Amino acid sequence: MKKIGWCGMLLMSLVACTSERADQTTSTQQVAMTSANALKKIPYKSAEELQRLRESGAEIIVQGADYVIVRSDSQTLSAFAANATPAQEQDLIQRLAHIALRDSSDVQKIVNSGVDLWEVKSDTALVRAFDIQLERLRHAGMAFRIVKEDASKPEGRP
Amino acid sequence: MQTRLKFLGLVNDTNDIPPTPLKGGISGLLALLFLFFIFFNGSCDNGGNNPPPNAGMYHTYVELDSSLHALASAHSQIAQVSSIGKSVEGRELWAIKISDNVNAQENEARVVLLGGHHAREWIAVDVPLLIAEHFLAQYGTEPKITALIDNAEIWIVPMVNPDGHQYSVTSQRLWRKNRRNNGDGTFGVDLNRNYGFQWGGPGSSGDSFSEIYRGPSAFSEPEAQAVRDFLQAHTPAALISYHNFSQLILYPWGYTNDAPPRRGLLDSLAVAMANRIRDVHGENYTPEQASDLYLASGDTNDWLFGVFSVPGFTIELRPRSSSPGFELPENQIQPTFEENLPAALFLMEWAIAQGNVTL
Repeated sequence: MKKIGWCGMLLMSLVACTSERADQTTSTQQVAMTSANALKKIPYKSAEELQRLRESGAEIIVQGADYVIVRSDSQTLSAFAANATPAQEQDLIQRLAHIALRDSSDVQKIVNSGVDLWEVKSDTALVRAFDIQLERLRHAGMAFRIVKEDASKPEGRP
Repeated sequence: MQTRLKFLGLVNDTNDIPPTPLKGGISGLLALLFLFFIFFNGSCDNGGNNPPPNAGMYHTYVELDSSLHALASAHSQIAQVSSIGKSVEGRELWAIKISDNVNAQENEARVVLLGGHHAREWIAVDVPLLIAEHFLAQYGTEPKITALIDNAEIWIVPMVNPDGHQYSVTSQRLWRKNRRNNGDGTFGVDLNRNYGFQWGGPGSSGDSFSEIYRGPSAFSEPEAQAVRDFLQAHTPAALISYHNFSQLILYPWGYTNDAPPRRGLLDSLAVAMANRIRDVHGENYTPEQASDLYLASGDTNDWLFGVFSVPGFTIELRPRSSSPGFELPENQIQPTFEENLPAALFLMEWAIAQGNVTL
């Protein structure tokens, strides 16, 4: 202790204190990392990189401006493993979108895609959805329009 | 504090503290360290320098806890607070029982009001709480309410999902699910897709990130288990589960378009409640079978009706549309309560008229 000096002690106490707060986050990350299909965050710098990610077969749950959140096994993601980190909750952003309804059966298809259905009107549904869910709906032939890129927070709130 | 000082070797071995360049010498350094520990310990212990959770006029979990216990204390002859279980994060799921002879389990009609399955639906917590407050305040004054309390056991669980509600207040207003760590980087199970009747069917999701994630198995969540165990032990004659938004009164089934047994009765009860709601402020709540909206599996009322044949209703409170949606302005708390009070009274009177006999 004598050799560490008082600055060292201050640093140690800071570490001891902050580690307590970080315990929960750390355990969360450990759980996430041990899960076989844990969601991972992978940064990308170009459209080509993004395309390679798509072609890898990984499910892209969220496509951010410079990262994706994917769900896949480690073998599929082996080429990207060096840059992959456990997904954090704040990265899992959802879109607010209007979906055009073609007929009444579309509502059930929308619900079954797993989206957060907020409102159904005669010709549109308002949903909060992850990119993968919107892609599912697109594959089912539905058209949508994103009205808010990050719908995690309500309007007017920090 | 003492533990951390010991951990750093500062409590029993102060001679180890090195010389300091500060003008105050050893005492100055100790004072500095003391202030440092106070600052950071305080920060750690309360999760940072965040102010206490504040939901404005809506009740937070802590405020609800306080209000329920204050009510029971002020009306100890007819009110009793107990916990029906704990949440994922260890919060108590508080219930208030309102009845004459509240300490006894009498052979009376039992009616249960549930609120706050979904975290962001704050009004669905405050309406059942306000109903409890109103009942207790009017006992002995308002004949109809006095008769209800004398002849029924009214159980109110205003906040089934306290972890999610807290998270909605402090971190993400639009959070819906509970706060289960799913182990894959996602959090939360939709408690109203976790009940064990027709669990896993349409209108629920197996994706853990989905807002309608049904969980890994039926009744996987302690909150849903607590409600299940409570309702098994105190099977009601009728139940209302409050949600928002859309202004609807929904009855089983939700998992199928097939008509439920005695659909006529369920529909007539829902229509009667809707009429009573409209009579107060003119607001229309549409009564319909839950599946008329869309199919959804694993909800409270399908389980209650499927297992016990007990009529349970989901009342989707104000507003009617997505603007303002889940963020119902505070000035609508009171009128939403006022219009829903006679609907709850009606269902309770109906339950008393049935005895405690299920359909």
